[in-house]
Amino acid sequence: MSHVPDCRLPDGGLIDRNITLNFSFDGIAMQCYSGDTLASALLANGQHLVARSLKYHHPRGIVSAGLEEPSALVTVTDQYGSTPNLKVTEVVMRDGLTVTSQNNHPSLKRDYGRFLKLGGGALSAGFYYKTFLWPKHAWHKYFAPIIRNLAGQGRVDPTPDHAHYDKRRKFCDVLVIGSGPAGCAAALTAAQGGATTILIEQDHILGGSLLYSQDSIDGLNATDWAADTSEALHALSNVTVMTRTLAFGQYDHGLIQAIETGQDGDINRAIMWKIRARKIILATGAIERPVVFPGNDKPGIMLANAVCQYIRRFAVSPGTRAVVAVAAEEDRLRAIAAMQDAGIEIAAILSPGDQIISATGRLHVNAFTWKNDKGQRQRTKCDLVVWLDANRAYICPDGRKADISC
Amino acid sequence: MGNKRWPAIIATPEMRSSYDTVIIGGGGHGLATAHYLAKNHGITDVAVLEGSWIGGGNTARNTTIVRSDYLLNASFGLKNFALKLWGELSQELNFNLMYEPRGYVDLAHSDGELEHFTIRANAMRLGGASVEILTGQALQDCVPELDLNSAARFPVAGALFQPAGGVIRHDAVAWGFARKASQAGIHIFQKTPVTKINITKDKVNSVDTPQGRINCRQVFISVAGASNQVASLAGLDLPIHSINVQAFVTEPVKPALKTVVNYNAGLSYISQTAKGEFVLGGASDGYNSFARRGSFARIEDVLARALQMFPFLSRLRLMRHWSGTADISMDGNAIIGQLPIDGLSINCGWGYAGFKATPAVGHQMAELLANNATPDLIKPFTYDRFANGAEIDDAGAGPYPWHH
Ligand SMILES: Cc1cc2nc3c(=O)[nH]c(=O)nc-3n(C[C@H](O)[C@H](O)[C@H](O)COP(=O)(O)OP(=O)(O)OC[C@H]3O[C@@H](n4cnc5c(N)ncnc54)[C@H](O)[C@@H]3O)c2cc1C
Repeated sequence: MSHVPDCRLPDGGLIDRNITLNFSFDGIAMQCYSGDTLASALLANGQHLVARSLKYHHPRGIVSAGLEEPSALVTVTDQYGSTPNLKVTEVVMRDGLTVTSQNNHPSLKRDYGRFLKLGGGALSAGFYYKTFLWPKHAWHKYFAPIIRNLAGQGRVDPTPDHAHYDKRRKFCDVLVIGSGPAGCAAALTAAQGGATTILIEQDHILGGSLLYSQDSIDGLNATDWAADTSEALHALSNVTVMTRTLAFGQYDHGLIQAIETGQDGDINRAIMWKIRARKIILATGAIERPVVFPGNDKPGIMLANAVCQYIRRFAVSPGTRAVVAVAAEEDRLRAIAAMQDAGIEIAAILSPGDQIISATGRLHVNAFTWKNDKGQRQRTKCDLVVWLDANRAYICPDGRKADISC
Repeated sequence: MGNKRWPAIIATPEMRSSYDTVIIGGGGHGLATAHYLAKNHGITDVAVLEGSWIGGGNTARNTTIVRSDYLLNASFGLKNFALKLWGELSQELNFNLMYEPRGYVDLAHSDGELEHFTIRANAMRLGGASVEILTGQALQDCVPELDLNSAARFPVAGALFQPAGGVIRHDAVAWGFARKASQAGIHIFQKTPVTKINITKDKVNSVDTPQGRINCRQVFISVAGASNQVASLAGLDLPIHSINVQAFVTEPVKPALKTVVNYNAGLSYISQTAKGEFVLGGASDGYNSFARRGSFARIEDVLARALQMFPFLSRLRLMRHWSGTADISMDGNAIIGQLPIDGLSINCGWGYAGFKATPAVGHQMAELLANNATPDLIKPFTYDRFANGAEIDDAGAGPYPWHH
């Protein structure tokens, strides 16, 4: 790529424009700001295509802004060596990261693995059980090694890992998981009532959905309320705030397991926490539900709140001309407002009940086709599709069962 | 390549009020028995009653390892016969079970242990298996990824290597047997738990299910983790403990390990699937439970040991972990054969080691059910061996189920 477009908005966002960070993606030098995630950093550099799917090597972009990211997995190399399969949305940017795409040969843009798809329709469920069967031993001797090489995502670094990892324990009266408005308010209330309280947040700052919200709480705008509450929590001696800490499971007798990711300068690369609490409050918010339609995995197709988050929190514009297929009205209006603020042209807004036909485009979505409620077929050019389903509001291909390969 | 017109794997017939033979449990063992009843004995008046779904028990919860490296003739014989059957089953069932004999490597951590492994290898050779004892460079060549040089707490002294050992796609085993048995005319019912076994004058006559009563001449129980519960329906108290056993997988990466490797200083074993995930397992959780929900302590323990073998694993993350209820007997070996009630037989006690034996159990049990006589390979596994003092304790661990 010779020209790297700058998709950073001129102002706004919770990024520190005074601190520039350098990184590279597939050998191309790029820059971003402190406060970016790898996802927002790539999008700021106009890089939507970041991965290939596991089986058919379809081009894949960034769908979400959070842990629910299904496809944008990359290998990140830092002072500890290389780590495969990191979601771009979970990597907090620091200076000097080398980022490489995975599962493609010879390159992300021209990947031979995509030819797996040729020679017939999709590989149906159960394909392997009926195929590669003859002659005897051919599976083990010939087919399995080929399939093994095509499968897998990143490559694991074979050298020993010299980083330090630790295991630690904590106890408290109230453990709050998630620091959106509900979690912050719960932690504050519990702590003010005298309970020893732990607040766990997987992000590197507190606030959750507040970090890209236009709402106000107690007369303060959302981001200011989040910052104030964060300060208040940090000031209380009976509260422990743990950011960059992901609670990943609850085991018998209320044992919560969490993993804290270190940052530059920390002795430990990660710490495994075992936390026992009298009461556990889950305030982890929601994950958006995507819409199923042919071509829905093309780069440039993103969840509604992810688009809001990239625009509002990271000051990045994920496109120039958008189709909006967001079923829930509140989310739809929020996404449209954010895109308008970012100067993104709205090409079309689908109503619930419309029938989605497909999204097309080779390495990036370039057009969207649907039928409106009068049964008229519509098609428009676009480079961004914003989607969010609610109770299967959109009818997907002809009401038929869609045959979608992934 | 599209495989567009695949019929459903098994038929959904009307349930009859009577069958000659009822098999309780649609796991690999029960379904293999059904298959061999049809194939080897032409018996198809058979119903397989599965309480939940085909293969949803330990069959699709296990870590898919097959091997036959057992010391005692009885345990070796059955598993080595199974290995031979595995080699032919994909073709026989016309279903790719993805058997990959990538080689099984059992690590010894002291000279004494390696000597013990050598005795086991010799016993296997006498039984006709191909097996090697590897040390030093030969072991490193066999498992290039293995860390033999670190200052690990339990250095590796050598290994027993069985080339025919490897992995098989476990759910394919359940579906492959089910499909073939169903095609032969055997009826398989899912979501059909047996709630009662009816016995008059020490003879089985029927079983009850929520869908109704089924009259039958004989009943074969093959329910792994639920063995105690189902045997109690016939008033039997089995010498079996139900113990939680876990397994877990990492995210998928490109091929980084060919063989299946087992670490013996505390148990931890690992292999890489065709999809690229590392599958890991270890010892049982050590407590009795039907919960099928594991403790994190065991996961940490297994991973710590795996890291000693393959330090690079520290960079990977687990994607899923799960557990199964392992049915472990007092000597750690299976109980197979007829029970003291006429027309009632059982296969249980496989704990976390019975997947590998699936076709051999099916083959032998079919013969027993067809001829009403116990075939030689399963004779040592009788229910009454605990009363007779004829235990089959491969590990020499004594009557403690959680030691096996
Ligand atoms: C974590 C784990 C790892 C393992 N790893 C290995 C390994 O690597 N290699 C190996 O050889 N073995 C391994 N095993 C052991 C192996 O999985 C079992 O020994 C084997 O699969 C048992 O097969 P099965 O068909 O008897 O049992 P299952 O597959 O459990 O089938 C029993 C069936 O009976 C059904 N059932 C229960 N109650 C009733 C009822 N009342 N009515 C009707 N149906 C009922 C259940 O729903 C179940 O489907 C492992 C086990 C576990 C749990």
